[in-house]
Amino acid sequence: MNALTPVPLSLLAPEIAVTLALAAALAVGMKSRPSNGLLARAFGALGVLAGLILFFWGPAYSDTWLLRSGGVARAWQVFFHLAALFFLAAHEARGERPVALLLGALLGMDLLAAANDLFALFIGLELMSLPLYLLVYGLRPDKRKLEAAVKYFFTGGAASGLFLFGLSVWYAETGTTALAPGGLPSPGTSLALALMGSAALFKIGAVPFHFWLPDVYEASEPELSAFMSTAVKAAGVLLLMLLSIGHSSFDPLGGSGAAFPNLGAWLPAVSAATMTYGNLMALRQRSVRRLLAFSSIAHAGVLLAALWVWQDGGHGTELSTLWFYLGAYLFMNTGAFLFLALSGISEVEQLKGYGARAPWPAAFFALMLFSLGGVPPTAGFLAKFYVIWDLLKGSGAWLAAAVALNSLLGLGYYLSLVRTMTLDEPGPRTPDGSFCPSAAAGLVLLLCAAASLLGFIPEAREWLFTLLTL
Amino acid sequence: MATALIVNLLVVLALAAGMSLASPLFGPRRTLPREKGLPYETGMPPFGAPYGRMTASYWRFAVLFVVFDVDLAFLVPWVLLRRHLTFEAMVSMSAFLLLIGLTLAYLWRKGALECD
Repeated sequence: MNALTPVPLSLLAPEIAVTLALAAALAVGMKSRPSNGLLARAFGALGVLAGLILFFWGPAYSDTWLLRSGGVARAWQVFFHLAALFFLAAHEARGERPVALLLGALLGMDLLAAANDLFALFIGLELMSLPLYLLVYGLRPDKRKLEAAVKYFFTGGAASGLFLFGLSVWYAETGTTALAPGGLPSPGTSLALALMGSAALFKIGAVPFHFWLPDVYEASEPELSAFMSTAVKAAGVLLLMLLSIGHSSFDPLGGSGAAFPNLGAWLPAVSAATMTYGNLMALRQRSVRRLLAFSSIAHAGVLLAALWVWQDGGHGTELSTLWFYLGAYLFMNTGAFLFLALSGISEVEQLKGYGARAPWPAAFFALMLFSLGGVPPTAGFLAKFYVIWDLLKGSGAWLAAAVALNSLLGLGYYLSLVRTMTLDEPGPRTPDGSFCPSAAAGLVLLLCAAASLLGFIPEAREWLFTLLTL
Repeated sequence: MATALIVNLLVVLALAAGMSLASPLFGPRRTLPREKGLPYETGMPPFGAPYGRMTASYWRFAVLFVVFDVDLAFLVPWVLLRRHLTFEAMVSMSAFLLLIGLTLAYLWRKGALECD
């Protein structure tokens, strides 16, 4: 593939839709009267939906030196666009800036998914990260948001530096920056992969690159935390996957006989450490937002185990397991954070007796917590079950044991939250039962509940796989 | 190649540590009297912070400059090679310029270019 070959713009159809929405949001923001952001959100949602439709209806799989269209990595765009839609639906209308920033982050994620070159990956990574730093800062900042945004910015910058260093080592080793299988792994390419993988692990929030995560999730608005914990994590997992496979002609059903390129023996260790750390730290939290942040670290560990299942290879179901876990996680985590946003609860104390004051919202949150904890009959249970099953089918028996034990640890705090909501008397800080979602937010809540329940059908994993590989 | 990197890292560390440690180890042991170490201000004792206050809008202009400078860096090769490029390159660069122009209009409208 000659580097001077022009890249047809039709490859970028979903991204063009999102860019047009971004331009429309900025144009709306230029009105002389300060708008209430509703029009910007509408344009944003339209662009995101258009991108989603174009993913399914777009050009067939094709592959150039810089970008690709179609293929496995682009399926991640469905997750990104859905998470963006949920954010746009739940976010209060306060001007066009958050919409524009979100669309910019979404554009970066889409570019990450469409990348076929390490530099395109880097541009996507940066374009995704910079608006997120600003989104954490928000429109009505306080000291905590400022601290969280600055922490995120500096640590994210360090992670990007690591990625660039890994890129340069990769180029020194292989003489190209294309995402292609680099032949036999050598110490140089392993070092490069480790460095670039560190940046990906940072985005996922895996140990030992997780230190920014609890502060950032606690300080930012819950809708933004929902978006970050689902879409950005998915982007990090995608980044790891792309770094390990390289080439775009990847056969999703298990490889064409060639050995699966290995990310490194550190992946299962990092996965186990992340799960355990997240669950142990979550047990001690008094703030629900921070607890959910640590729970998302724990889930990131299970995601990495699912990724390792894929890398272990050869059984034909691995990518569907990863996708099913991502899908279930998207809905249950969004639901949990949206509940926090709409009920105004941020401390565990405030949950005391909430079930008595607002039964239906409390039931919804309990459903989300059951799903996160992996209690049947929820989608979260099935997702974890498939991960453990695939680990046992492969060579990851000890990792399966780690996932199972960590699920038990997780139940410790998820169920204690449910108990606080239902069995405790309402405390002095429990909010009254006013829980008024807007129409769009209500729709998202319904979707999350439905997905968490319908996901228990065992065929759901195959349906999702078929849908995403259309 | 990885060994070269590790050797490089070790040499850099050794150099930095060596330079930092050599001065107190091999230098003369003499502490200046307190008055001689102060900055010179024509005999008056120094007052106020040594650094002045800086307007934050300087930083904003610096960031905007960097953004539009990178825009320029992309424009220059395109302009020079325009003759040899296809129509699609024209479309791509026009889209890019439109986006940059829209951003500039947005900044202008929001008052980011004011210098008060």
